Amino acid sequence: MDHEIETQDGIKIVHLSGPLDVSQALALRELLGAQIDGPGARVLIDLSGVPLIDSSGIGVMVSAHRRADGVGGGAAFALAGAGATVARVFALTRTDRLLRLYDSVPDGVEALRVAS
Amino acid sequence: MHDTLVLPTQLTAIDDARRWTSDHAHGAQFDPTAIAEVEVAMTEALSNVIVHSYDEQPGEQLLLSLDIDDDRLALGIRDRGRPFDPAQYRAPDLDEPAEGGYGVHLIEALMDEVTRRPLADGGTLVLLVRYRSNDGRDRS
Repeated sequence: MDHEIETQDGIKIVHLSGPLDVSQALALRELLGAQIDGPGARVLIDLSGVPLIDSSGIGVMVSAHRRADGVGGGAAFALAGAGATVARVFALTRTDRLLRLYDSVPDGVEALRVAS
Repeated sequence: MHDTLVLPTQLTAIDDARRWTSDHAHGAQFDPTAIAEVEVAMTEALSNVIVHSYDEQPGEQLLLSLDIDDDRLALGIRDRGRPFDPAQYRAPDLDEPAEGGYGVHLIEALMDEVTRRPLADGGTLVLLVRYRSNDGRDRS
């Protein structure tokens, strides 16, 4: 897993690439935890470069979502750009009902901008 | 086609197994969507074995077999670790999103057949089958 972080209108966009599987779960958890660093943090995960996510990766995303919800003052955490296989794993685990998923990064940025 | 792969009991080796399977499946003109879903299922199956049967202890080996014909793809995973105990398995509550525990659920949802049987040598064979006729578009 590789990543790049850019900031757009105060929104941290984390571009991930490569499979998000059990061998990457710890690094992913630390990476996302570091971005959700306080009240008002707005974090968007770009999944367009992620070909595969497994149960461990799903777990990290659910954890990050809850961490953002638990930050005093409220932080925002969303995901965007999931391909067919990744979206299907979210759907099969029904975590798509909890997580904020957007079709594209621009859609996600717009949603987080409006929410600020 | 038929091929085998010896894989060390290390989570970082799962990527090698995925690439091996994907290369053969693409070469056999298996549906790309189905291949991607097989990769997810095999990732879960291998991580289950490495984590739960071997406690992530390196130095042991898994034997993978891959058979692809006109009808199906069949991936076999042989291990000699601690056997899976169905009595210990708890299916996830899909109404309560969790931070893990979806592995077996995903394997069964993404594959057409999943069998697990003990071997005479004390090991276990997990067989994952996906049919060509199921290209992923009609599955819920």
